[in-house]
Amino acid sequence: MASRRTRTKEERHFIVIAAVTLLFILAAAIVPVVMPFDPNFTDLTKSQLPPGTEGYPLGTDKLGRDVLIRTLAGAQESVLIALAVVAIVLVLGTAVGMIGGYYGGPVDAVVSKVVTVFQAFPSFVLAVAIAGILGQGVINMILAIAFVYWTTFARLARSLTITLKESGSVRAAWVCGASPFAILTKYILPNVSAELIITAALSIGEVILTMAGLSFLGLGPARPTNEWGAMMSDARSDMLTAPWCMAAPGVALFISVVIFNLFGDILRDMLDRRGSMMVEGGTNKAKSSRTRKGRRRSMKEGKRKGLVGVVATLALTCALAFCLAGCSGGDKPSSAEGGSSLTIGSTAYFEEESLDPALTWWSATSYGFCETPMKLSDDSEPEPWLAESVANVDDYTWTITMKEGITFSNGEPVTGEAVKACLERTFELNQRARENLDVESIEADGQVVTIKTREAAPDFESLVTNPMLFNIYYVGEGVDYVKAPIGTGPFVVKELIPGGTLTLVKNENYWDGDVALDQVTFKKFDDDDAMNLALMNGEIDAIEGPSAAGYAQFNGKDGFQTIYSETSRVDFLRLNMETSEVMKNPAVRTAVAFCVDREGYSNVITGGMQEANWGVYSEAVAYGGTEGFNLTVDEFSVEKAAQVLEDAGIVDTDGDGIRELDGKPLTVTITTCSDYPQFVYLCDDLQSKMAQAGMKLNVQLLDYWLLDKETWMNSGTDISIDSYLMAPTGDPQYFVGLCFVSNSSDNFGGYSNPQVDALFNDLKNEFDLDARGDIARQISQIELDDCAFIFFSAAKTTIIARDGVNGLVTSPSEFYVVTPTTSVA
Amino acid sequence: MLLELTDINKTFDSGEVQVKAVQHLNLSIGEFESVGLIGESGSGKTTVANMVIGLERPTSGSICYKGAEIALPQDVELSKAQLKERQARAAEFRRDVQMVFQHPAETFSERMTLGAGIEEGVIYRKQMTADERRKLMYEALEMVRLPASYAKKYAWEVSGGECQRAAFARAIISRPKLLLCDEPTSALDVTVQAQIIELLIQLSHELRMSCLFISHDLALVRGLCSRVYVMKDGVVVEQGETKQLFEHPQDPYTVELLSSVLDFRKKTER
Amino acid sequence: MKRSRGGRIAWRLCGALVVILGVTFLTFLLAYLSPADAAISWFADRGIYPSEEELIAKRAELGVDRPFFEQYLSWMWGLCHGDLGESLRNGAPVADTLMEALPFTLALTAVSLVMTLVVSIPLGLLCARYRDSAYDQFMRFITYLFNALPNFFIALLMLYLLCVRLGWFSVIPTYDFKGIFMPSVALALPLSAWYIRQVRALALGQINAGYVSGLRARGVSETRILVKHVLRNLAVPLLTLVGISLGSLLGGAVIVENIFGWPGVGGVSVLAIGHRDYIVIQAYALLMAIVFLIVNALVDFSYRFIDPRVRKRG
Repeated sequence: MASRRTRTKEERHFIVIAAVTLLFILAAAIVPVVMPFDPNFTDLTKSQLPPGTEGYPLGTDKLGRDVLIRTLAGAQESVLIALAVVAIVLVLGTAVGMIGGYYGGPVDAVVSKVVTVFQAFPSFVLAVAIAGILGQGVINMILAIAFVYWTTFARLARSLTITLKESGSVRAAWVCGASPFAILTKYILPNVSAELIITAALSIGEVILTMAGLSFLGLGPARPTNEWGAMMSDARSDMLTAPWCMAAPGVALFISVVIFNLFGDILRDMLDRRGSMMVEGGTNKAKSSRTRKGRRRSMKEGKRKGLVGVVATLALTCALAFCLAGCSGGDKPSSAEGGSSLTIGSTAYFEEESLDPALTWWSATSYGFCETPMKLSDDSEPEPWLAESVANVDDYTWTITMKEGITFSNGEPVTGEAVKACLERTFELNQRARENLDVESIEADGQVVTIKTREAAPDFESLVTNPMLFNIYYVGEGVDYVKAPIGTGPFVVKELIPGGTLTLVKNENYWDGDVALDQVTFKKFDDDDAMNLALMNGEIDAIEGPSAAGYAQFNGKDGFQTIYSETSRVDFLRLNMETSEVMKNPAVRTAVAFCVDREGYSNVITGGMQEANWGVYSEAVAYGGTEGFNLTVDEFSVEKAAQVLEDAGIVDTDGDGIRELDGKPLTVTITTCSDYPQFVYLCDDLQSKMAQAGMKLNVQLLDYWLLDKETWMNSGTDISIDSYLMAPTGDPQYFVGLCFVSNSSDNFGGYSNPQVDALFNDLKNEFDLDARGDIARQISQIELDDCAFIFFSAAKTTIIARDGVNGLVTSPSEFYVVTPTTSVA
Repeated sequence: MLLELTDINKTFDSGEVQVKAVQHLNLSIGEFESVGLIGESGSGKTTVANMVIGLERPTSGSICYKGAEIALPQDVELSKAQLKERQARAAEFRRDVQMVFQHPAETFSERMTLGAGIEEGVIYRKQMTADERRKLMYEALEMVRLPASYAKKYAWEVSGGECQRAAFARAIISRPKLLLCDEPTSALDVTVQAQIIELLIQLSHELRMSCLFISHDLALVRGLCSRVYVMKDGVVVEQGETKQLFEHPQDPYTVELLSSVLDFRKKTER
Repeated sequence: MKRSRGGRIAWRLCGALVVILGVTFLTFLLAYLSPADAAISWFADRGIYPSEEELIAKRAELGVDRPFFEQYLSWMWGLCHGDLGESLRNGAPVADTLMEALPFTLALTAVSLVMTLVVSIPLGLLCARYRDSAYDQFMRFITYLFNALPNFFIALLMLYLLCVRLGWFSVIPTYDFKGIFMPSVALALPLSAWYIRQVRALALGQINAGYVSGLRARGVSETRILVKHVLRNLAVPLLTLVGISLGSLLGGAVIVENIFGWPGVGGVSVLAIGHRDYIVIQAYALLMAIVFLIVNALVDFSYRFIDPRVRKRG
């Protein structure tokens, strides 16, 4: 055999692609490390700039991060990790496969069975299951992928080993007395490597895509990450407004996969060729093209007839397109069997499966099937509703006089007795109700209900408007409170499909006149994007609580209307004052407060739906806002945050960019529920800003809200993000008693200040409204000084509806949505 | 007696089909003796060789090396101690036996030089430095009449005969007491065959090895072996001193076998 | 020892049983290793404030305080009765939830598969027929493209283009052919890319085999050769491909169902993942494995009808 050959075509191709691949890998490894830009640097003033803007060749994402830099940085995670994983499974899988194949017998039986068991799962399903169970994180992702892909190599190595075991050289080596290890390494391994390396090269692309898929589902590396799948998942909601955020990582994925696939293919071509060169001598060439003349002729023929192929493909595509067009036009959802109906979507519906007005109280009125004795006007003043009047007899006694002639939807009359039964049930079941009104006894006489309290309840009149305590519903035999509660409202519950849809129909017995709509459907969406698209397509009529992206999409656009009210809802950070050493340090708290970009959050992250909040209560209440208060933190400033820490002696001693507190790096953990994308974005932004001030922020995303102190504390968090309606009925006592008072039910962070407790006692006994406001302001000032809560953004309650929908309301209390006059054109 | 096979049976059982490859075989090889085993393809000769070398286990029967039992027949339950003892003796036996196969190029790894391949013959058997090993390797090359430069060549670079010589080098480098040759010349050209046989005769004399020579080529066996066994369909039909057997065959099969060759010879001799 | 036909089938069933046992063991092990505390998750998802005693009681109720094998056996016992546990998220019986969703996923898989075959077989054959022509090069380029695009990217693109920009499809899926069309296409596109290449390679292998030149010599037209003979011989390898691609279809369905809101088991599992509901995840993995095993067994079984050689061998 000749020992020197001229390079074949395959070898030339291979050199080119190998060089490209190598360069690519080097770039992926080095560029993210040496580039002088920080991919996680957020700048909310530069949000969503299109590609081509000065300084941002690929534009910016929602938080103002440079898309090009993020994509480049992501190469490290998307590509290198994939390479590492493939290398690991190659080695491990081959080892296992070779051992099984060589030893045969019980060893092989075990190996084979294990491999078969793993291969019984579709690969991505298994990866998702493993990563889903283990949770987020790079290690978990690597484990998941490794467990799925090792079998490919094990199987291949095993079958190759079994064949090679019988080969002449192995037998000769065995006769020479070679140990199994020697045979495996010297004789079998070199001969299986080629095939295995090819398989490995070809798997890299698949692994990259699997990783992207896992990250897309939220199972990849923890935030902050620039992994391409995670980037695409983030960019999903902004698909319409900023498509480049999704295109860039998508293209990057595509390029990587193509490069590695090409590498693998060409490698295989080259090695196949080398192996078959001696054996075949060209049976691959079509017979007619063996002669030069024949080759030319067949190529011409091929070209001509190739046209047929092109035509065929075009025809097929046209047929498909025709199919598509034929199915065009999404059907509008069919209305209720004749009659008008309204569909409202939200991502915040149906967290629970129960409609019991005593427990799931906040939605009973907004869904339109329950009402309260008094309702709140738009100025947050109580007005008669089901009751004629509410009277204060003495400090501990109040009477409610119900209107005559009101019936529940089942026809039963609303009497004092009925109200008494309903209230007794609510107070028995609902702890919060009890906390807010300490009822001693309830008496009924005709239409008058007398309530005696153990403690003075100066806020009684506003409490009577609160569904938490005073939803009026029918209590009787055989009532299914969970699925079909009976109230007095304009609509009656027809059907609740768990996790999805609540349908209500018109209450034919409505006491207050005719109800305009025949049917109302509340539909829960898991996905903001899907919901926005549904509204766009006319499949739903309105969205309650749109996301920032949805707001940007519909606000002010033709065909849509925005209905909103200012509320006392404020998004705030809750700090751990009990078990967190870092948070107990006042300088750290102030520094964190300086790092919250309240304007940026309100204008950019929530798309303008919210207002920056610097005080405690929002401007929506008289005792809220910032006027007259002494603010330590009155602006967003990373420099000031850094300054505060410096002044407190919290400095960076080891030059790693993170300050040390008591000898340990200043690390803060923030937790929130991933249901609110705006909170997730805030975490990302805070992470970047706090890093600039020398603090490390770890983001912990949960899929549920932390709803009690023990769970909150157990999560090990220093900060959580929450959003509360602080004064639904306009009264300050509710929130103070809920969160500020020591050991109160929602005071998860363990904040405690005896001054506040004392003031709260005063509040509980103060009947004069102005004086109540003053006490509220005093408490607010203490809160601002203590900085155990950071109230950073005030929300409006917003509904976006298509034109033609009338009578849909929002309210500062968030209690009311559908009314008897709600109608669709 | 160096090696003694007594009542060896080998049955291949693949569930549906049973093949009785070897039945009631008795065979012995003495020290410094060359023994031939002849028969047509499928007669079970290679199976016998495999059982001797340990690549196969006999279904039943005994194999004794220097008087000690080394076989692990499939039909016998051995106690742990017995098993260990036999395995130890079998290991000792394997150190003293080597084998040469029919297709020499296949028995060398494509990636190893002939020199490395030859060294494989001794690398697992004795502890020595790389230099000592290399010296032995060159000695072995010399013994098989191959130039030293062949140490750097690959199996696919040399001719069939040269490759078989290298195989012999690998076989004798560890100075085995018994050499098994399974059709060592069948894949080679006729002219080369004679050279190999001559080499084998020389080696067995120089190195004082016993030899079990398996072939379907009677003329070769006649030239090399002092005793011959004739196998047909797994059974030994005749055995004896070579000269005696070839000149006065008893079994009708042996007669048939010999006469076909002789006839051919007669025809070509004209 | 000869085995009867029935004996062999029994043996293979045994083997399958061992595999299924292994599968259940693996999925159970997975769930057992979950770092999430079932009791805490149960309460947290319902917004209930558990006390320490309640937690302990809940753990006992859920049975997570027992040793591994006891839990495994009791889970297996439940399994045999069709009880897959209750979702940590909403307490719904997992078996019911999954069984409700399964037909959707199966429908999606079937439709995708049919689409893939309908598209890729003719195109692949054409590629083989006009090998190295401009068409062939073009197709190879296109298939490379689609092979390298993640299926969620394709799905998102389709959502964007077809639902929003062009308004051809609704976002809320309807449960009929129109609703299943988009997710099926999203799954079928990358799969077709792979299939076309495979069909091309297989067809080329056939074309270069002996019998084709014999047919050509007898003057049979190329098209006829392709359709009547080559295609028939492709049936067996195609069947193998179907078995292989099923895994990627079931896996790809996860993300695609999530993107298009198709109520299949993939969607259920994504929700479960979001809530660390490992009981559902475990049941989902098990279910998919069993579906996969069953279909592969069916594929193996149907070889006998298609390939006479296999039939003869018994």
